[in-house]
Amino acid sequence: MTVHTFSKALGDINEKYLLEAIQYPGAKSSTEAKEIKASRKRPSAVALLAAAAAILLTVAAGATALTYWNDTLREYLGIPSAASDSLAEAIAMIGDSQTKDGITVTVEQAFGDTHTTYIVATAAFSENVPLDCKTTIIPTLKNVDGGYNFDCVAVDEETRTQTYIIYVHSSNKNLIGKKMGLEFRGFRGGRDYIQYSSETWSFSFQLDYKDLSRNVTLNKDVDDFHVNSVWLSPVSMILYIEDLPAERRVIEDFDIIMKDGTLPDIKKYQIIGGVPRGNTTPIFGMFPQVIDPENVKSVVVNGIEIPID
Amino acid sequence: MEDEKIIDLFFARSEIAIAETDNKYGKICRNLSSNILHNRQDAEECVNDAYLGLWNAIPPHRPSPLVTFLCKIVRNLSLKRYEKNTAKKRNSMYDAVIDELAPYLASETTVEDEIAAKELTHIIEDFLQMLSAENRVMFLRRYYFSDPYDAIARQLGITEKNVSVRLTRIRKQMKKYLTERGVLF
Repeated sequence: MTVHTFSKALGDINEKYLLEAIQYPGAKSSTEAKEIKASRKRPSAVALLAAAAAILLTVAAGATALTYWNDTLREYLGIPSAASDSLAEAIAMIGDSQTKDGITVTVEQAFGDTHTTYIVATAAFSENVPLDCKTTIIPTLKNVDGGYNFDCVAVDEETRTQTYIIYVHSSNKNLIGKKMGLEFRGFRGGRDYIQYSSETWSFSFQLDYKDLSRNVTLNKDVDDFHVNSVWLSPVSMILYIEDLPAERRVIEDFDIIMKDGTLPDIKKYQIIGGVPRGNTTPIFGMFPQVIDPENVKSVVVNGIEIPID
Repeated sequence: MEDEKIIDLFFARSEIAIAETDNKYGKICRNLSSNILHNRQDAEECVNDAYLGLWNAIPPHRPSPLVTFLCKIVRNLSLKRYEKNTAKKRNSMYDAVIDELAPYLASETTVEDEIAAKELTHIIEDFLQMLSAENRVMFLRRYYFSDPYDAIARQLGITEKNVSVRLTRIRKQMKKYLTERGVLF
């Protein structure tokens, strides 16, 4: 056999092997390794003084940085008014605006947890542009490993504003404290995809919000696998399973059952990285509407119910 | 941006779809093509041709996942370009890669004509399934993506020497596997 015959046959292998080779969660890159090394260095005296000054400034400022809900985001996430205040701790206020070509883009706030963030942004347009969400700006996320998507969720004819929700999931990285870049560009739309502006609106902001998640150690044998723990937050969860047999690694059914018997929707679920890490298979799920992590009764994977408490 | 949204942009015939595909997968495509062609300009052309291929394929197709569909197009186009280029000379990472495989695939008698290409692909898949996930990734990074040893070592967090030793073992295993299945004698 010639190597070219082999190479051509290799070119037709099932795409799952290619995906595994692309996404394989191997060692950290050298850059990441350097970052970790750097972060373990002892802080210098100057850094300690700077940190102390920052703490003093924060204390002096008190709780003057007002945190409030963007109504569209609160409605989008189905947040009941009773839970608004406690969940507001997981909001990072941004409030940054830029106007170019008569279009004002504002990134208002982000709400999330360690692995998921919902960002709300608005774009105010001039009179000559149709306001139908089909004529749109396209957000592009920078500096973050993970997937993202966006919805144009509301149109206000009076203020000529469209509201966007950009949702980000980074199932194997911590988003809290991360400096995120968000760029809007390519404002175009309509039947012929007319370009109304070629400007770019670039934003950079820190995801500083409180982690409202809880970690529950389970250590249970369920069916023919072992469940280590579950991490739950109002907007996402990760279930850590050990020794999940290969034939069960296609997750066809993933649900949570609340103590009142309801089954909240799960917007997206996946095995993190597509393959197990050693013996452990972490399954990530993202909720389209907030849940109360304290009131989860059980998790269901491929028809097998795993009690949480 | 998620693949689903990028594909929606292809369906809307928006050129942003290409820009977003390039943002997300340009690096992996260029690396794959450059490893085969060892020529940045040729690689760039192959990647652009692959994007055109995507533009023509979507719609009606809705590939999932997008990245593997794209990688297959890039690899096929790069190999075609490689074959055209190597009528003149041999100079790429791909040469080094296939030279490594040659001693493990050559035999005095061969039944390659009797084995349909599809069948050979299935046999390779069965062989890959036998390997540990890390060895499988190492094998594909080397022989599908033509990655150099140092890049594979970085991805897997092991030394280049370790990559080299383990790939030699995998090639020997593969020769045994193909011989047992009558692909090689």
